Amino acid sequence: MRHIFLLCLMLFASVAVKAHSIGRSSSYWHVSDGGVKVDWNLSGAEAEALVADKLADGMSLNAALSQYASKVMNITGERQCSVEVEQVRVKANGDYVVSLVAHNCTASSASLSHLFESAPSHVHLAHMENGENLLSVGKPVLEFGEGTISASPVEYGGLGVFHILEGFDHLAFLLALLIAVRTVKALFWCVTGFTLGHSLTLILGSLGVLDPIPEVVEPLIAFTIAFTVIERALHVAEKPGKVFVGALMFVGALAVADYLLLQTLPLLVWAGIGLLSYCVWGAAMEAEEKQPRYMLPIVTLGFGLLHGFGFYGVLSEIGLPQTDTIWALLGFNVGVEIGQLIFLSAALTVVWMLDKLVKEARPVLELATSVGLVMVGMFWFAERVYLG
Amino acid sequence: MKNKEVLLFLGAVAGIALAAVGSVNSENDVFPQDTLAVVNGVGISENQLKAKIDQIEKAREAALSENEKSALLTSLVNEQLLLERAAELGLAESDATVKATIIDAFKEFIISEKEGAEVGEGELRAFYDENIGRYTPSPKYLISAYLAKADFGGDVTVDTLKANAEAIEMPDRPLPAGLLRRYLGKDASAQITQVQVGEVSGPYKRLGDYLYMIVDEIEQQSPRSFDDVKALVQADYTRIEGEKLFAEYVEKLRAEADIQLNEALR
Repeated sequence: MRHIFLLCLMLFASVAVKAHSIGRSSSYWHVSDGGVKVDWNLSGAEAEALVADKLADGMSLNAALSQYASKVMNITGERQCSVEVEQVRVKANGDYVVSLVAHNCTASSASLSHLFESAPSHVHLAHMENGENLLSVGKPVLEFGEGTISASPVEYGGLGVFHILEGFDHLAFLLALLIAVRTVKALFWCVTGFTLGHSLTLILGSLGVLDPIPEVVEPLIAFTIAFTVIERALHVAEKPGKVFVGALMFVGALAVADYLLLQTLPLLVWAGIGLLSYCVWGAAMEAEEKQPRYMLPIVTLGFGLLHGFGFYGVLSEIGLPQTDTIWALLGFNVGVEIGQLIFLSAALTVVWMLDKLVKEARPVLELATSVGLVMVGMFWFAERVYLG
Repeated sequence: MKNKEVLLFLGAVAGIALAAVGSVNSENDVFPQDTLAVVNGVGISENQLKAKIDQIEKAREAALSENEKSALLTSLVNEQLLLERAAELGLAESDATVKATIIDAFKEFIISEKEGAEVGEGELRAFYDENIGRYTPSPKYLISAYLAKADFGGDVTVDTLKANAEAIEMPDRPLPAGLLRRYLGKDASAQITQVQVGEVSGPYKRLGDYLYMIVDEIEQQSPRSFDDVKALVQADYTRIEGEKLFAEYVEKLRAEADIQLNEALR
């Protein structure tokens, strides 16, 4: 009964929690003596999230966005400039561009504090003719002036930390790793593999060498969570054969449904998922509990490649500065590592404290977390494949 | 590791590789150099976008923002899609406006080859001399006109008209044929250039009456000097040479084409 209750709880939690809650957008500013022109870019999902209350009142997205943009973009000079929305248009990829102007206004600064008040986790990269500025709740004001400016690697580092700590799917994967890996040494190799993998694809994506497809990458990231926990379950299950067949059949059913209904994931990817699941889960089923698991670090390296594409997705929505691009990129990556370490340290501390305080709670907690992670992972996976 | 474990390990690596490869767009590999987008196999080059950006920046005398440039690329992609769809629907054959626009544009394209070409002064002067009539203003005519209630036929004399018809008040100075139209009407003014001095021309029906006109004087005009009309001469020369080029091009197409005329239905 207790297990059923926990299952239900986790299911509701998985429905309620969105994998990413960081909002991001960027803007291009043209400031002259006669006034200011700004194009504010944001994804369709972000646009809908920012004006959700207006949409609930029945307002159209364009109208709501237009009203919201003129409220949050405050441009000032010697006086408050009057900001008008010129147009709201949708790009071919579904992103929105809100064009705003402030005529007859010698502007000295712009404040997006209203934006960060309504969306505190929002991050905004402002591109200006003399450089870029990364704005967030702690730094909502953009100063117009002479000289070259550039968003610093430290700011991007902060963004990396912020992203990993708010990116619940990445955290869920790390938690899954903690459950799957039993020794500190193995954890070290797995985390190292994960770090190498995501650093490589983050850098290659940001430098334009690889062009990942978010619609494919995002479901795969979710899949890595469930996959890792199932790998562990196969080690400890009393009847691993049933778990193995059941999990493979579930993945097979998802593949067939996707192929027949939507074809969100290419067949190549489904083939990869199938092969990977069969081989890794098959090996886990046959391995002894105490036997060293050489496969997992390699698998986490591979999963790191996929998560790196996800990190790149975040970074590409915000954008990198034109100058000091590499430093900003490295800053972001280091930030992700720091965020990872913070989370792992916190999680290990909680586990250690629980072990000390209520030793018998650990198996229950581990089971509940495992079940929860499988459900959350599979829910996100299905959601991203079938609902986009 | 046992053989089975090795196989499973290799399978896992291959699985990850397949998933990772399937997560990446492969378009970069097939992009020809300087191609910004490929729409159903048709490339949109960096130069195409640059030309469009230059054109707009020149017209508005201000630089385009990055967003506007990106929107321009989107519009080029959309244009290509619309063109393809129009071609699929056969608009070029079925729609008279599209057909005429394409032919006009093609003609302009051929003619424009001559527009930038340098033309020597001697060639222009020779063209001017050959076509001096083009640069000579039309003669002016001093006209008398009469409105009769009856049709006196075509052989009527001036005296008969003076005695039996009402003289129309006409300007007392020679005017170009075009300006005389408002006094004489369309039919009579069209005939002016055919009438000799002192000859009676008519009758021309006009609101139930009969109009007769007599050309009293023809004032011939001198050609405008070459220097005055040089720009006009150059434009005429280019246009006529372009039309010749277009005619030659069409002849070449005809020579290469398989054209069969059904004489039975002609």
